[in-house]
Amino acid sequence: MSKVILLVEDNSSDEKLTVLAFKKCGVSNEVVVVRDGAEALDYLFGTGKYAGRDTSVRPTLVLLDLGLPRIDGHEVLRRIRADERTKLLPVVILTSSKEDEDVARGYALGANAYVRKPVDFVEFAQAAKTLGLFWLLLNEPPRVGPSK
Amino acid sequence: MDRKRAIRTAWQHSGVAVAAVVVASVLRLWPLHALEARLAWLTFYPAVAVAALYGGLRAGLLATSVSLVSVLWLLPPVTGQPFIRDSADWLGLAVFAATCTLVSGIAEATRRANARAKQAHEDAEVANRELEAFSYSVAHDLRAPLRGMNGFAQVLLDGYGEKLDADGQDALQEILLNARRMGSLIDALLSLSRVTRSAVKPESVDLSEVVRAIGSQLSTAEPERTVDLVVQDDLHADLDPDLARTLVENVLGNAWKFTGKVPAPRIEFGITERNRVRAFYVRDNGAGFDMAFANKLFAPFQRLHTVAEFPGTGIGLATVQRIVHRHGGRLWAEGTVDGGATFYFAFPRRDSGGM
Repeated sequence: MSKVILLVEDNSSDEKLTVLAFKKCGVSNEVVVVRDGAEALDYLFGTGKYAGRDTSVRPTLVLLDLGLPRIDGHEVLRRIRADERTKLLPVVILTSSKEDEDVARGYALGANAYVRKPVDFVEFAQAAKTLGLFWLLLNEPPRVGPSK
Repeated sequence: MDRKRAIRTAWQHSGVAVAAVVVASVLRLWPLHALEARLAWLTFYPAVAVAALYGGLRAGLLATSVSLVSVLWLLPPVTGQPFIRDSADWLGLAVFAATCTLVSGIAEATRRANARAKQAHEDAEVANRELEAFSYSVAHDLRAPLRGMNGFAQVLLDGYGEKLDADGQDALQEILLNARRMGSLIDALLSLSRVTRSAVKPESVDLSEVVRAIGSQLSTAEPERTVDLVVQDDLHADLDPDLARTLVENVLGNAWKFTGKVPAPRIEFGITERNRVRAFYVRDNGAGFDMAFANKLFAPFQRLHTVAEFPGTGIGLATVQRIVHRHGGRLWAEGTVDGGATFYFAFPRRDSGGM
């Protein structure tokens, strides 16, 4: 089973750049892109647009932006952590802000990491590479599922 | 709802005015009965003052009227003697009425001035908060398109660079450079607005220690440079530790940067007395500046050198100034072109430890 990355990103340029950055550094995993917080939750819980999706197939990593339309990143994270099926899912906040408040709130809600998107693409690609290496190769993901 | 509250407040004010006069009457009748008819108005002056201070002009005038009624008609039957017997007593009454009206008027004016000041303060706070929220969101939202520009220019350079000639590649490099520069401007702007938004929690900070720590950071970042850093020991100040660090980072970083082109760079940190004020100073023997432009030093985005001469955003000293002001302190600078610069900052209260 291939490891899927769920990218929650409303800005299409940032989305393309993230995918390009992964490609550039050899992270070839499938990247599922959702455009806002509501769509992210639909994907994870198999509701709305994603009704009928096999939700036992969970992404290995969620890259979550904070400033999202409809349901913002912090709220998405809160709901991910509140649900039995997704509460252990590795979630990395990937955003523009490095405000102390945003960072603290992200960790308080159970983020596994907080990465600020650099403006410089070379740095951005480096960050994507590090994230990919760590979360997809080095890190041992939790084994949870409704099958038990 | 507001009208109901206004009515309740009016009743409260009237109640206090009447109660004050009742207390004044009782005091005048019993503990002060030995005065007989002399100083008839003695206890009523403070009663009116209390009413006016509590409820303003209307409450003051109400208390004055009730006092008049009390002295003229209610008290005489109880004491068995009239308080007003001759024209001198009428004069006393007139003086009482005039004084009380004046006191009530002054109380009202003070109340209104206070209310206006409070309102102005609240308005200023709201405006300030809005401005900060605005600059926060502008700065963040500006970064996203910038990342796009820089990113795709880089993609173009990486993927299609060989299809461009030297001029084309150079143009792409310029786009990248400018995007990076704007990125650091936005970051500097954010850090400046953060200084205003964050709470100041002062405690005793060993500034000498902070200066040494930042100094060693700077020399780690540029190991090829040798700068003679002279730090006076044990200089303490009551500052917010985070902001103190930001302050030293900027002042020392500045000195570090502007001594980059002199043969024997030297930076001193110490304390001195200027115009009977104890002030910390950071002195360098670097590029300095023309005192004619001293007023521009601390304004955001003002620079006295080109980016090519010395890189920078023009935000550092503005940040320093905000930090010093937020601690109630003062900041000034002295310098000459090619003769180095000295930045002084002075804080109220305990400036230095061990002195």
